[in-house]
Amino acid sequence: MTDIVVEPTAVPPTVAAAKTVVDLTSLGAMLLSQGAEAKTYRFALNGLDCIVKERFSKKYRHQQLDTKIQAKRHLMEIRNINKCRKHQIPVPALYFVDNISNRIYMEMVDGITVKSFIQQQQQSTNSNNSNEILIKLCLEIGRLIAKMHDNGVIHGDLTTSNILLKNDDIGGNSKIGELLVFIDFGLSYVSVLVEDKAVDLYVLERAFLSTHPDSEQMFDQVIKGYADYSASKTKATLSKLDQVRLRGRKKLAFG
Amino acid sequence: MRQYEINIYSDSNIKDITVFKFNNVTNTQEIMDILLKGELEWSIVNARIVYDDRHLLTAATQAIHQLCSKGKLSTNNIHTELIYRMSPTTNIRDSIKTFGLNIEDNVFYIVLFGATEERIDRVRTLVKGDELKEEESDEALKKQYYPNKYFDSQIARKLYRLPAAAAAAVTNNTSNDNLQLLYKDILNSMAIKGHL
Ligand SMILES: Nc1ncnc2c1ncn2[C@@H]1O[C@H](COP(=O)(O)OP(=O)(O)OP(=O)(O)O)[C@@H](O)[C@H]1O
Ligand SMILES: [Mg+2]
Repeated sequence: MTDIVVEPTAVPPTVAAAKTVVDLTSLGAMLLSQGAEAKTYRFALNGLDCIVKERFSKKYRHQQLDTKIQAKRHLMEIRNINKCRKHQIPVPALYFVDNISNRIYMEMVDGITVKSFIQQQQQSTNSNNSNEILIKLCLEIGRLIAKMHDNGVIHGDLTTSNILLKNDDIGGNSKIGELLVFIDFGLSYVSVLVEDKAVDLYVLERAFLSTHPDSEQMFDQVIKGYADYSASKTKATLSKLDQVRLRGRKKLAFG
Repeated sequence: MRQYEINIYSDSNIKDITVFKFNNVTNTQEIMDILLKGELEWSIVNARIVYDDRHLLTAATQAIHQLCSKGKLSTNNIHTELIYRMSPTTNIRDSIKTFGLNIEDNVFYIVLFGATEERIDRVRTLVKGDELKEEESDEALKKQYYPNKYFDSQIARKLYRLPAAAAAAVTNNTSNDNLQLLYKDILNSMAIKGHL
């Protein structure tokens, strides 16, 4: 009788590494937000003021598939943030990428979300002045998205929460456009297709209209800024946007 | 000499680094000879490209991360791994050569992982030069993790492959802003190594 040989099962690397993961809050990190797929912390890594984005698996999804999806997003976020940086599109600097715990340690941007900023400005008493500021802001947002698209990066989740506005510590010397920083590249990908760019803009338009009352004019400025970046490069995308809108409306109307 | 804890990996048996800085070193050749024989468990780092102690700490953290995640290092030992992690390229030999000790250097950093008293003594007896200790009593410098006055932004730009044009994109910047921006670019290029 022959012996039954039992092959030792290899421990998957993620399991082997799992015991290494230390809960960041036990080291003094502050939990800032808990999304559906990632937690965000503020943490001082070796004295560097960091935002840490930590991806975790959703328990109800297929575990292995989920780990794969998370790893892919983790990688896309790193690559596309870096790609933007290379092309001078403002994004946080990456400080450390930890593949054991799927954490990205990045520069902490001292500022507020564009969402909060718009809300503040809309409540301001000096409405002429705030209108002017918001117009400038939206023009620059549009221009930077065009630049991003021109370099082949589709953000994938453009909202006014995923764009930050740095605090101007120099005391109002900077132009407002220089204070913008794009974050949250977890759904980003590389594409040069007109359709992908148009949908990216459409997502932002929906975000504007659903988050900010009376924001049609603001979004018009985003489009203007986008077109101003380069008429020839953005023309096709903007006409595609009209089609995407129509499609979107039909979807809304007919379910 | 300064010591720092690195505690984000609970089951790493290396949990701290010790940082020395020397200038006016007169026996670089001798140190180099012993180093090349593989008899020194030290990271000797080119002082022209070290921005501050956090820069070394980041590389040290990445070296420990490499060990914990892959179970093995990219280089021979944790000390060469730190030098390799200072570099933005994946060429190991080039990295060690440019970011490590060069024969004409008389200023450099020495970093030890998990140092013992004996190893600290060995550093001080072997290196003939001035250990920069006077700044260590300065609380303000300590808070800033000892910015390195030998940091040379031109050399750093070259070795990290960061053309000055990238920094100039943002107008109205003071030279200090530009330096901060350069430091962030440096850390960014270390962070993305191996992930592209
Ligand atoms: N680099 C940064 N600097 C400052 N704040 C940041 C930074 N990155 C993220 N944040 C803050 O953390 C929040 C969440 O980050 P992010 O959008 O990347 O994660 P998320 O998991 O996608 O969260 P959500 O699901 O809420 O969008 C942001 O809205 C912002 O307020
Ligand atoms: Mg977000």
